Amino acid sequence: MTRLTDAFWSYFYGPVSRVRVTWLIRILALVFAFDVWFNMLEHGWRYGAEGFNVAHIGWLTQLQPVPDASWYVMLVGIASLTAFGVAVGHFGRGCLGVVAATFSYSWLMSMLDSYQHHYLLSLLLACGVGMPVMAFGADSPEDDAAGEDADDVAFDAIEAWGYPLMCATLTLVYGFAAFAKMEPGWRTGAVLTELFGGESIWMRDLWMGLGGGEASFWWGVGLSAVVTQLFLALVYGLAPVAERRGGKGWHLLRTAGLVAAIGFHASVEILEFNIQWFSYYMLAVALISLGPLAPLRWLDWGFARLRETLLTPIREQLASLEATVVVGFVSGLGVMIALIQLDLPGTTSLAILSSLAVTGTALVSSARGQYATGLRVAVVGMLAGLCAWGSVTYDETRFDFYRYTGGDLQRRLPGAGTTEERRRMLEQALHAYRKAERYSPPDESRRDDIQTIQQKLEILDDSSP
Amino acid sequence: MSDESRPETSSTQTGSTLYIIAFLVLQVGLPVSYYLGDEIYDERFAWRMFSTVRLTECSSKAREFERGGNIRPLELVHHLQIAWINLIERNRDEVVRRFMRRRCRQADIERVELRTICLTESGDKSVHDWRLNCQSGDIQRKDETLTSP
Repeated sequence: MTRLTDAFWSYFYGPVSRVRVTWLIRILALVFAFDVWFNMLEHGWRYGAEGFNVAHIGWLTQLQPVPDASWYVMLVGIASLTAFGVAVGHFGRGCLGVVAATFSYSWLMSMLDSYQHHYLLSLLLACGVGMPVMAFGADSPEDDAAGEDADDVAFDAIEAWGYPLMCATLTLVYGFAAFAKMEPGWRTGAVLTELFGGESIWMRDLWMGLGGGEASFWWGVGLSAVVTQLFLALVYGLAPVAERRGGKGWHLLRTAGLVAAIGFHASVEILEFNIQWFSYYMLAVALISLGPLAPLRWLDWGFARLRETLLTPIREQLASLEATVVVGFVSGLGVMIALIQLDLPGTTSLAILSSLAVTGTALVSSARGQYATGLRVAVVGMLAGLCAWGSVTYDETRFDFYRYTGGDLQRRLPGAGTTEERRRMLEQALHAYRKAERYSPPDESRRDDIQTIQQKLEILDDSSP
Repeated sequence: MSDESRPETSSTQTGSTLYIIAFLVLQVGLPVSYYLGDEIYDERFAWRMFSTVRLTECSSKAREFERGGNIRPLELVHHLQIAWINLIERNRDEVVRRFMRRRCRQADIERVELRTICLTESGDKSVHDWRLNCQSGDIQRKDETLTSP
């Protein structure tokens, strides 16, 4: 028992590299923030239709009101803006807890979000709670007084149980995923043939060009997926140990794991499995967790230098009560305008809340004399708002959101029980299509849909007594 | 690491140790419960991305029995957002039950029935029936698998 306890203790509370933990959390939080703005927000249209909902947990369905689009947008909005603060603004692990909690609730509240990688993302963010979010390092990897190797964990060792927990989590995920692929459908390649049989895939075409059969190609791909996932389960499980022990053998294992992870997730992207940004998360986690430490340390040091050269002089100039208050108010106003421009249900509330949070934190910090904190929160808050607005505008999120809303209402129209209900649905669809038209790309106008609905409404008016 | 070299446990570390253990137990428990349970279609927490179950093609049909004896087909697409229909067609029991109970709220409905027929990639066919008596609130479920010859 003592041996087991010792092993547990040494695995979870042993030293880990500061730079690895810092970059893991920051990159994960940054990718998550943009994932929300590019991919998740547009899914908000599905919530609340017909007042129907089933949560992932039975009692949650009974306890909560039916979530609607504005509630979903609010939740993922808060999670993404806070995550951006963690990534860029050095917000603490309490904020990461807020990100993990709000995002997890955003998918737990409804089976409409049944993406397995959102569950994984929640697990990774929950592991982050056990990792301190630290500032970029100020010491050059070349200037180490103790003469430690820049690729050695002892160079900047800290205790962060969240990192080994994340590695253990990935071991379980890859392990169970490999186990699921040991079923006959995967072993024979039937699943992959079914998924991609009719499509043109250059790797398969090359194999067949060399005289191989299609069945043997998919059999090989299926087998290699199982072997790779089992290997990755092993590598992630041993990653914290490998880093602490050092040595060529351990180094080789990590490097092989990194190559396997890149190869596996890059193949998933090449085969177009359509799993949103899941591969990008896994690639980022692999590069930071399994990659060598020295490049990360140089990157970390570079960012610290950049911060000192560019930001420190400005911060010193603005380090006064008056300046912090002004910057706080201007940033609060900026983030409000940027988020209102998102023009999705719930974004006005999100804008007001974010603006209050940014201005409030700046004011409280300045009142306590913590001008640097106040300025940082204010500037990062505004930057987050601008990035959210830029992403949503660039990605046609609003167009997709509103055209799907309109389409769904039209589809459900025959189910309307009364004329009043029918009229209400038509008016909502018209409103949605008008919004979609405002944000439509040049060749995807929704004018025809608008006209059709207007005609239906006119017929309804004419037939009314 | 021996007992002497292990640092003294603080209350924070006790909290984090409990967090770690609960976290890992949950992560092992959820997928294992899938393999030990009967709900083969509910793969949510089992890490079975692109499994053979997902390749099963299913379609659902529902009908309502009115008090006067009339039977009318229930077009799911007219009453539910499409993502819910996909979940019903994947035999997500909770969703089916909740939808049927919701239909029972209509004054003239006596009974609701829903049938999903699935065809696996190996050619096996399965039929899943739900029958809800609106008065008693009882739901009966029957699953039948017909193996291909």
